[in-house]
Amino acid sequence: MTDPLAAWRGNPFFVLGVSTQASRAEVERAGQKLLGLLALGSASARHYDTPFGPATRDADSVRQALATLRDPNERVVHELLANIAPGAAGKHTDHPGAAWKGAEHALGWSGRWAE
Amino acid sequence: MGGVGLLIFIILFFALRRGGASSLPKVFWQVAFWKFLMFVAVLPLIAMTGLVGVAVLVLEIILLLAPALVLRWIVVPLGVPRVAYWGATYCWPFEVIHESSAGAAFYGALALTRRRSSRQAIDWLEESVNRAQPVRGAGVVAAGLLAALRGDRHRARCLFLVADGLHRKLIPKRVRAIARDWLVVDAARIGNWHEVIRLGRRGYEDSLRWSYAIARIGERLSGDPRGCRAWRLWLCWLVAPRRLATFALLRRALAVPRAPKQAAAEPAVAADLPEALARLAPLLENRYAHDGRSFAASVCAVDAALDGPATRTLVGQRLLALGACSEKVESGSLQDMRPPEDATERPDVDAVMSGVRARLADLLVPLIEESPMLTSGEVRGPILDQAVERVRLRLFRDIEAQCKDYNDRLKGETSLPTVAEWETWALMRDAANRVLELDPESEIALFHAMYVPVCNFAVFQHNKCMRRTLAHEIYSWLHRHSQSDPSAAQLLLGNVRASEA
Amino acid sequence: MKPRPLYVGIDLGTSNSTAAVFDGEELTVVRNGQGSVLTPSVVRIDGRGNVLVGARARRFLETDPANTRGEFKRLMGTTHTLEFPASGAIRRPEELAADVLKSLRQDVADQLGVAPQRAVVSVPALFELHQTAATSDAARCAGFERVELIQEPVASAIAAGWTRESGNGPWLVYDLGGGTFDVSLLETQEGLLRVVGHDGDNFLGGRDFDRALVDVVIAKLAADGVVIDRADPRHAVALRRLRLAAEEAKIELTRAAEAPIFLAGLDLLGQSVDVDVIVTRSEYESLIAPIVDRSLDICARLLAANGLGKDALERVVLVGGPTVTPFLRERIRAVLGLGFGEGLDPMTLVAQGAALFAGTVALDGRPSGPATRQVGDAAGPKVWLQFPAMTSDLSPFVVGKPLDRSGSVKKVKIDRADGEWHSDPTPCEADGTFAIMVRLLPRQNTSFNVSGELADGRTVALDPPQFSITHGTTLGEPPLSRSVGVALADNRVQIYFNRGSPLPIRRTFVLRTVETVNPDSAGHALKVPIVQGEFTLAHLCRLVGTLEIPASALTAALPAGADVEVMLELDRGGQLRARARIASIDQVFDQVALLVTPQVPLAAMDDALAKLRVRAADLSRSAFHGRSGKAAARLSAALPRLEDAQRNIAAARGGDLDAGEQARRELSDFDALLAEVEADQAWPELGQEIEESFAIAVSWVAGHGSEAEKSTLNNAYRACKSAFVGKDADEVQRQLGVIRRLGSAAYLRHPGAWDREFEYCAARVAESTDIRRATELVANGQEAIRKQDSAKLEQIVRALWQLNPVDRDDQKLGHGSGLRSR
Repeated sequence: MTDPLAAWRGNPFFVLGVSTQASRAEVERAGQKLLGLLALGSASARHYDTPFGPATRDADSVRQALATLRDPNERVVHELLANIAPGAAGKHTDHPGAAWKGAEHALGWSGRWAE
Repeated sequence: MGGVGLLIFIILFFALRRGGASSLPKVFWQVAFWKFLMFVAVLPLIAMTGLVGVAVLVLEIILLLAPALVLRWIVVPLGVPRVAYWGATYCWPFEVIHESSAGAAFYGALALTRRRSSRQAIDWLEESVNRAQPVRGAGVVAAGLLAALRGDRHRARCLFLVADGLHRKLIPKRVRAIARDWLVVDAARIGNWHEVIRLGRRGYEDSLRWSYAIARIGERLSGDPRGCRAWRLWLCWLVAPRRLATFALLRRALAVPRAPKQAAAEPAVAADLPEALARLAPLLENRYAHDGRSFAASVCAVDAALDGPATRTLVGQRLLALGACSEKVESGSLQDMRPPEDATERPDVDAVMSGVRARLADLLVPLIEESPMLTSGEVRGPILDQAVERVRLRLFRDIEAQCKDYNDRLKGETSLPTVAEWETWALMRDAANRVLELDPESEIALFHAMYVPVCNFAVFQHNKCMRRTLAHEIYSWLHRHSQSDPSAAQLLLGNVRASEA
Repeated sequence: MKPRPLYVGIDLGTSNSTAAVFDGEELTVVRNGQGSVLTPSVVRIDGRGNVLVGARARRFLETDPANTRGEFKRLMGTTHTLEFPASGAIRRPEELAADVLKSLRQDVADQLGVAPQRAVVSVPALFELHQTAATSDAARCAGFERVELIQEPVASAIAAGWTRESGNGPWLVYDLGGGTFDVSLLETQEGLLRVVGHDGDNFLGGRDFDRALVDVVIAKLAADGVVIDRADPRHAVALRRLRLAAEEAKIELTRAAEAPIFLAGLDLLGQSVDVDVIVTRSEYESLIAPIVDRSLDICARLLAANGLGKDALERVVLVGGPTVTPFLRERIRAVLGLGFGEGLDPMTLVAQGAALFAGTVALDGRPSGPATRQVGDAAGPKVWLQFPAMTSDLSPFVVGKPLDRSGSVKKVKIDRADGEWHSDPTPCEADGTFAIMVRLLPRQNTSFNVSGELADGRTVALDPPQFSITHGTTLGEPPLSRSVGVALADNRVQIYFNRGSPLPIRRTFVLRTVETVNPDSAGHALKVPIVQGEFTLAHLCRLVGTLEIPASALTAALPAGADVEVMLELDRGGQLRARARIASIDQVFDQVALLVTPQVPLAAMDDALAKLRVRAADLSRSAFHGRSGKAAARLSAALPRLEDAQRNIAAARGGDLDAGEQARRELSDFDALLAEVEADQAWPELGQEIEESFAIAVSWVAGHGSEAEKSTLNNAYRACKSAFVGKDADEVQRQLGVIRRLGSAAYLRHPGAWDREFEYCAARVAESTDIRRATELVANGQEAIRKQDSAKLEQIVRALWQLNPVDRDDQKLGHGSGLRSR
């Protein structure tokens, strides 16, 4: 099952943990700090928060994020996509039309499929 | 003894009649003979011992007359695939009488789903399906179960959809029920109630109790205007099997108020970009909970917000602040079929806008590919158009490549094993159905692209490889979409009739 | 006192190599054993197997050319091997480069007392993957434990930016070396140095100046009746002597208005000829003017590609020996209107930049052994620090983690050595790391002391007790010089890494197979060709490696359309790794073969040249008829390139390997140009094709088609036209297929149609794939005509159609790729 928001969670601003108004120096500084922490093997540096829930980062994605934000056109594109009004998350499971996660177990397909 | 023998003959006769008259003589006499022999062989043993003998006699009669019951209720839940397979081979359950080895593999696969499956067992069962001759509905469902056991849900779904659509002579009702069962559970698991409704809403002939009931519940859950009243829901639930399991779902459905007959047209709310995006995000996660129109509407809202003057000025300001250079032109790059763009100076704001649209289209493409139903709204903005176009192109390319492969294999007269051939057809059929759902107008082009190579390949399969059910299925699908070409329709109809026998 | 770090940078040039050392504050260029900063990239292996490198070897270039080789840099990564007959040794270009690097390493050891373990080596910006991989190999052979590569223009820019205040506009680095020309556009904004664009020519350099001079001499000699032929291998010795003399004359001409070329006893086929020729500066300048203009054209191309005018440039940095030519400087000043930086030595600028870059990435050349502790060294708790050795940020982060398990260090404090700034004691986070923002002194090296606070409140110095950070320009990761991707079966490219992406980088795409692959078919293999280049047609890009999946290695038959996950990974040094995973049979393959470009045999190049001529002639003709003046003009402007290529092929026949490579490049560029012109022509032609097909189809359907077919035909025509307007090539072809099929279905209902088709097929029996069967069918067909059996005739004609030859050319074009995109 595809995770529809995976690409959105990988927005460079979320990955680096900076605001869309940050200056170039701040972006580079944050990136360099994260690369250092990841090189040290810090576990807390691997997780970050997005409006759609938590995600994980690694050195490659931090580097990619830094490179993307260096190009002004790309940066503005990602700024627009990172600016989301609050309240975007958390509306999933309450909806009546949400998935019936226990379907397989309940109906005898005991769910021992190789995932 | 004579009575039992007569019973065997009668049941066998009707079972064979149901599945098509052509194989009647040969299989009939073979199976009848062996069953009778089995009965006769055990008689001396029974005659000797007393009460135990009666028990053995009863068991023997059940095995001879209704082996499917034993298999279904005892062997399969125990999860012993080899016992199921060999048991089905030697007991000849009546419902899969036309395809005994494929049917045996079907029971084996069904047993395998109840316990932790090993790769060897899956491979072994697949081998037996490949060796089986003929392969009809049960074989297809067996292939589907094996694909699901391997973890390839997409392939399994395609195969089960094929099985669900097979002619009723080619697939026993209980086997079809298993296929539909899996499809409904698969759709319910991800919350795709529209698919559940579609599977459950059939004509009287093809309808199955359980999927019908679940479909009614699904209508209620997804706010479908055709939803029925509470008392009808209770009735459906009572009549359908598996009441205990579906009770929780029923309560959830009853908690949802019944949707009004006319879906109120949602007023278009002019929102700014952050709000429009915030509204889009949960919709992407929960996309099946709404119908196509509201999905398209929220994407259009994002489009409108992007085109709004506020966004454009913001983008212009940010570009100035960041000191962007003007338009870049790639030198040394070739355009393969498109003429070079005019070298007009475009303001950068457009480049940023199309960048945003392209990224949102990227997000939407896998969703639309999975369920084209999401685009059923009347209005589609540029983002949705872009995404639909890309999905359509991808699917068409897949279909054309597969047609080319069919052509090549036809020339070389090579054929894949049975399971692989069914899978290939199932995947192509699924892609074609998706294209038709996305863009009904491309039916003609699709038919013309597929007709010659696929029909010829089906003829090859029918004549040389003896896969008549596969050929029949291909012909009937092609025939269903052949309105634009009457001569082709006629040819296909003839083929359908010929392979039915 | 801990010794200062040793950051080593090496410029491995075509004609000369240099090494430079940076210790955090001062930059020194290393002198070799002969006291010169430049070491010629020449290697000699004498009869006894002794290896001579540098100026001593260069002396033998004239007298013993067979055993002395120079200018092997361009051959790195190819399969050329160089033979040394006296000792019988056969060496690859990488091994010769390793010899040069070894000698430079020894020079550093002699001057500074320690042989460096790690260094930064420069490579030209447009070096392709196999060439950078070969450079890394050479460095490893030379004894370096770890090597980082840097593009030459970037190195020059760093060196040029170090000594002066830099503004905020773009810079142009003009690097004309012995063999290669690179021009790069760099941008410094807020202290961050970014490479915005590269361009250049791998085959344009000071050598072309030499060649021009040699041409003058040959012309002058020819006037005197002495003929020296470039293409004749017997004249190679004489030519070499002439070239060396020309080099010296060239250097002379920078100072004087004329230079004599005097060679006594030049050996020409047994004749001994004396060469005494005078070349004036004006003659020389008029000769090199076209070459210089070519380089300036490339500069203009680069500026245009980035949307900049000439006036937008802030600075021009000149790099490379040939740039001291006054004429060249005048031309550049005239065209670009800018002055150059003073006090920069163009010959050693690259090495200096490489050493500074080593400082940025903290690539200390000193061997990291057990550090000798001097008396009085504090042996405090160890801590692992991460910080940039050089940055443009005045407040960078320093992150670290105490290495002792006991967790005794609770807080960490950093103080600036000059005492002006202190940080607050920062506690360690839950995972043991700490991050402190420090303040640097602008434009200099700042030292910091690190101390820690233990659980009981005591303060101890940590190990290492101090570190330093330099404030200067930051450089991002080295970018990729050319796009890399996988070639697809329809001759397109699935691009994995775009030009300019930072390295290291890894990406995975899911592709699909084009044909069914059976494990039983021996010798058949599924090929995944990896190409590098900016063209959208795969056959024009250069093949850098192939991942081959032999059919026999598959455990089950792989149907067409099966998913194959292909992952490509590039590390900083440009080494490529590829892996293919087939999910349906759960197998992984990662044997990448052929990371070296094959030599193109000369006969094939002649062939290709002839074909290109024919194609160009056809295109010119059709351009004329179609009255597209632009296309005709482009073609005629490009025709001289074919002549160049011809001359290079001739020279290659005479033993000049470089000319061969250049010819190959020119041929593929011309091919690309022809493809572009063809594509431009093709679109309007497609419009015409639509009209024609529709007209034909309408005429047949009107006569023999049903009403439904007529309306279908009209719908298809409308859809086709709208797709043409929307420039959707795929859709146009699809609808065109519908139109054609309807037309031919109606045509075949015409009474005489099958007869005509049969005759047409019968006439082409010789071309079919199975001639025996075809002749059999033709005989049956004639029989059927006699009997007036039209149904049988139809069957026979359809069978004959099946035997038509299949067009396999497309697949050969895509480097034999077996994959397509989704």
